[in-house]
Amino acid sequence: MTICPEIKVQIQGEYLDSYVYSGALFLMDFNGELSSYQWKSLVEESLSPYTGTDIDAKYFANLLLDCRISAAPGIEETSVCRDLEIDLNTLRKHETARIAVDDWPADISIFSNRLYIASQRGVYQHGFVRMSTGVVTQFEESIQILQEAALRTAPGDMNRVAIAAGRSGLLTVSPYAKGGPAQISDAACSDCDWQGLTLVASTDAGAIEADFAEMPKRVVGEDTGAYWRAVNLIKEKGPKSVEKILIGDSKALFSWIGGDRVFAINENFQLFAKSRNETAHFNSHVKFAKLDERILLSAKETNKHFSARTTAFGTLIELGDSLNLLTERGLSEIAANVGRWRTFPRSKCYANQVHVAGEDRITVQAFSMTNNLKAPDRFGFSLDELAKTNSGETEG
Amino acid sequence: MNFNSYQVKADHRNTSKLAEKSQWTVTEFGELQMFVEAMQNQWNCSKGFLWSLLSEGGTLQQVGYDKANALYLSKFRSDHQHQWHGYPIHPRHDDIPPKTVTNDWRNKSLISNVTANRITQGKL
Repeated sequence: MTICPEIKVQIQGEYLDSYVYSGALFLMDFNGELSSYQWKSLVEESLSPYTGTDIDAKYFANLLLDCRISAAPGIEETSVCRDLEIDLNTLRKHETARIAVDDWPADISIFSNRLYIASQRGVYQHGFVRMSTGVVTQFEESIQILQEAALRTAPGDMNRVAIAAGRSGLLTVSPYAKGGPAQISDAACSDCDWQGLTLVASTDAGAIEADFAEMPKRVVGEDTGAYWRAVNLIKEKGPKSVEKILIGDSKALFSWIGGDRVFAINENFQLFAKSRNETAHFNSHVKFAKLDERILLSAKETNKHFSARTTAFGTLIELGDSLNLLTERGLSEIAANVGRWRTFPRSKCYANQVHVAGEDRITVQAFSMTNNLKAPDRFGFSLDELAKTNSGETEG
Repeated sequence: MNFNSYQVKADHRNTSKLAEKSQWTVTEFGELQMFVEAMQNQWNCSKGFLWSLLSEGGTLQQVGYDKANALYLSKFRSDHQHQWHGYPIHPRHDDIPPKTVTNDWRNKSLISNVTANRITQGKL
């Protein structure tokens, strides 16, 4: 069965990357410029021609602005995918800030109002000024937090960042803290994902999981100095444990986090999942699901690039330049000729979106959350789960 | 870039599928052509390596293979006597060409935006 998003927003232009965070859309272009747009007004203007037509503009606006509202009881999923075009002129009207990064990032990530850029020059952290509406009015000058080439960043809480730093391995950095980067693994690392107390990474030696101690809770009236000393102590200690992820006796090739579960792929490209609270050893008897044979054979035989992330609407699997969605309803290719793709698994509002950078556009695909509310797909996670498991760390 | 000579290395042409080193699938002349093109276009990085490719109609052509991958890019290095040699690469870790080079390939329509984007992330 083909699964399609309810709406596709096509943003015209040549971009490397796209990110939506707390009411702001961020676009990274091939000129090395990072720009920010007011997402709400951009969506509303783009949908305005449809007011009074058979398209429920308000429903589609909610799908793009806050998926929790679009998933409210009584709202029915439509069966047709709508396309929305945003041209350059419309986009420019909603631009609120711009900065020349003069680089092509391998990855960008945003968490707790900090933007991280990973590239061959290292990792940079940008602050930005935001209004209460989420509108970014200004980017601040960057600080360099790592001077080695990096492929991916995964921000954790308390301004800690995990970095997949290629041959330098998996590192964590705490900007402004004493000491330099801490090496979690010396195996060449190409991907990492950090949510709550769990950090997973994909290395040339297989997937690994690092578990961190909980940060102290701040109590009203407590000595501020004592609190920060306790925080810094935990930061300096690093993870409580670092283990190879094993599935039975075999190593996992690739791992990522979705909701309160850790997912992993074994050498036969079978998919497994476990709770974030369990140890890094996957019991092969609790095999979660086997990927579609088409994917399995193709992935094994062609050695195409593989990566995956789990969202509120299913698990996205990148195979070569094709992006596929795995749900209980089957496996569907949702985009071809993909330059880059990004999901927002920590976001309360945008957990139903995937952004895809293509040849001459960014495509924002937004999926219905109606089924998620009734019974979450077992290849995805529920919005309730997101609220519970990411308490204190979710994005808007 | 100083140049004294170019050497075709036998260990990148022993045709074994299990070879430790990456293997060319292009002819020796094709290898040399890629090197000359890289030299002429200054497709170099701060570490002094040269980077090249074979493109037809904006689509990358395979230039080699290693144990895991078909390879589409090439990298060239010189010794202290300025004798150069090269080999096919997969764009990951230390083998990702710099932005200046990838952007020039893109501007010359040798690669698409999608390919430039993927190379930047270390995947092809």
